[in-house]
Amino acid sequence: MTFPLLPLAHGLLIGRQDLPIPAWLFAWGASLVLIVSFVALSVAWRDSKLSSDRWRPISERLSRPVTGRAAEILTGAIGVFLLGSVVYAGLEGTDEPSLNFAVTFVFVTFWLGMVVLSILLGDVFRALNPWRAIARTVGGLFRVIAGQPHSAPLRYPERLGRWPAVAGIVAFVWLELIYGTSGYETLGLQPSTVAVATLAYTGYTLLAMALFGVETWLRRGEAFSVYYGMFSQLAPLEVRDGRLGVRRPLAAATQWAVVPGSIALVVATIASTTFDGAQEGLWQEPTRDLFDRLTDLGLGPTAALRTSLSIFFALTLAGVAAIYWAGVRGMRTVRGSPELRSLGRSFAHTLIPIGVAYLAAHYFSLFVFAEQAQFTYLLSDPLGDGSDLFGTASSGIDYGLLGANTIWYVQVAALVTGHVAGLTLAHDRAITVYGDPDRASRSQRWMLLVMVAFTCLGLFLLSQANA
Amino acid sequence: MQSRRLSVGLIVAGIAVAVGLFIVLSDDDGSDSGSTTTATSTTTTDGPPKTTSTAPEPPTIAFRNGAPVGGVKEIEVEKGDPVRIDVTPDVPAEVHVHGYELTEEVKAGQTAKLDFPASLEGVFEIELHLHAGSEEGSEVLVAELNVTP
Repeated sequence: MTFPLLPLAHGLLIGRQDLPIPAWLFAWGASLVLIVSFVALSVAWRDSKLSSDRWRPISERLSRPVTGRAAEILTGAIGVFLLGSVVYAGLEGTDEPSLNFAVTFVFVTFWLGMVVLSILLGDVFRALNPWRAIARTVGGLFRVIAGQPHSAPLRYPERLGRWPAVAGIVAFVWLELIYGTSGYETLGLQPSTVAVATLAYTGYTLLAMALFGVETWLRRGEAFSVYYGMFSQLAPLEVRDGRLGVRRPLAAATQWAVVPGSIALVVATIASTTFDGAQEGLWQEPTRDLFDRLTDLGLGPTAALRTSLSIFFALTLAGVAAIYWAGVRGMRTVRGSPELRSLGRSFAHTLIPIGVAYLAAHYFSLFVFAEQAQFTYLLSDPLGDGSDLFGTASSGIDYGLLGANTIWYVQVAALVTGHVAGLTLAHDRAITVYGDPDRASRSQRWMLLVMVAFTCLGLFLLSQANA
Repeated sequence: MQSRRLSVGLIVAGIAVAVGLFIVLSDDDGSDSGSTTTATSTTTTDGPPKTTSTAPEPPTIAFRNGAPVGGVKEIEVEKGDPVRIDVTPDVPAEVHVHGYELTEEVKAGQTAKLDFPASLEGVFEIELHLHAGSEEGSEVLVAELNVTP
């Protein structure tokens, strides 16, 4: 049995991938990480600087247009329109994934673009969330007709925390990276599959919102709200009690991980990107071996490929979690540590910048190239049927826009910046957990190891990709 | 104050070491060429630029049952070099070089002679869009074109 020519996730949409970072840049990047880390050990500030995000409202005149009723209706309508467009294009448009609006919009513009917006502008997805808009509209109608607001029939079990959202994110990534690989050719994820999955998720979300209440489900179970909400913790902007305000970047993240399932969410974020990167290099041989074994057992090629990839995805999730928990266990050896679980939860938010760095390093070029397609031919010809709505159907991607050197420097810079932000959050948290600066420093040697492990793993994956 | 001066010193030293490493390491560029097939000889570091008359025979990719013989070929060139590949499918097909957006129709058993300058950096898929056979309408990965700066 010949092994399927592994369709590479990056290659799925545009047939272009990044070159591996060269050996000298790998060495330089890794050295830089170590230097930064030793410097970080020496600049030990003694009072927590990030425990308060120092949120303060901006002037009412600037805040009103953003938070007002008109803006809410407008952004909600945009969200619902885009949701409808994905479903319509997926069902009615061409089967060719790269020419159908639905695939690029969901997996690049939405999945990656919303992360960028969330980090820069805060929780914008709350305003654009189509499921929230639909649920609120239906809730409003219900109030008018029934004369009383709809009250949720079930109480959300708080001990579940963010776990339903974690399940949603893992399922989404599985659909993108594993289900989409189906056989000998680089078929990719069918647009109709994207549409059906979108409809199924819509039904599931609206049902859960009706059962547990709209706001509760948005906070705990709606995968995208929780996922983008995590990144928005880093942002310098936040709407609080209907008022837009500015706050210290990174600081809000310190309050984020108190809910169960938070560690799992940030681990899933890092592991998803790790798996995607490893698929292009590190995992290729082992996946092939497992695939051969499974086909020898009588599994068909598609089933064998999906099973072997799923197993490696599960291993990646476990591996990333193991790195983090090993560091937490190490920290536990410092006198005066809280119990393991609560210590683990205390430092989970320090991995959010690492997650951002991984995303930036792996998807920067894909995002730049695929967005050119999104705003040219996919905008003018969303169904791939030859229409030209805005006159941009014949324009395409300029692959000369980013040279290999630019991409390499962005990748290394992203990893190093994430490393520094992670260390900053960890050191600040250690001061509040341990009180005593000496013990805080000692505990931070362990978190430093965790961060160095993740950053060097990130560099290593880049040096192995497509090599 | 003592510790502050120390940390400033450490930061300055750190930056100095980083810059030094960058300069030293980035000097020996291109020392990591793999054992992959080269479409054109790119091994010389300081020789005169080649003319097409001395270029070796381009690698040929043959097909059996709609799949490339010997698996997906890795082609490695430097930016600006000419890329020359011969593709001989065993079914009527279209050869497509992603990114460069070059396409060429070929009949079964005939050879598409690709010859173009490597103007874009990155890893690009070269695919065959099959027009007949049991896998009609599907796309088969033929080769990966690695263009390094």
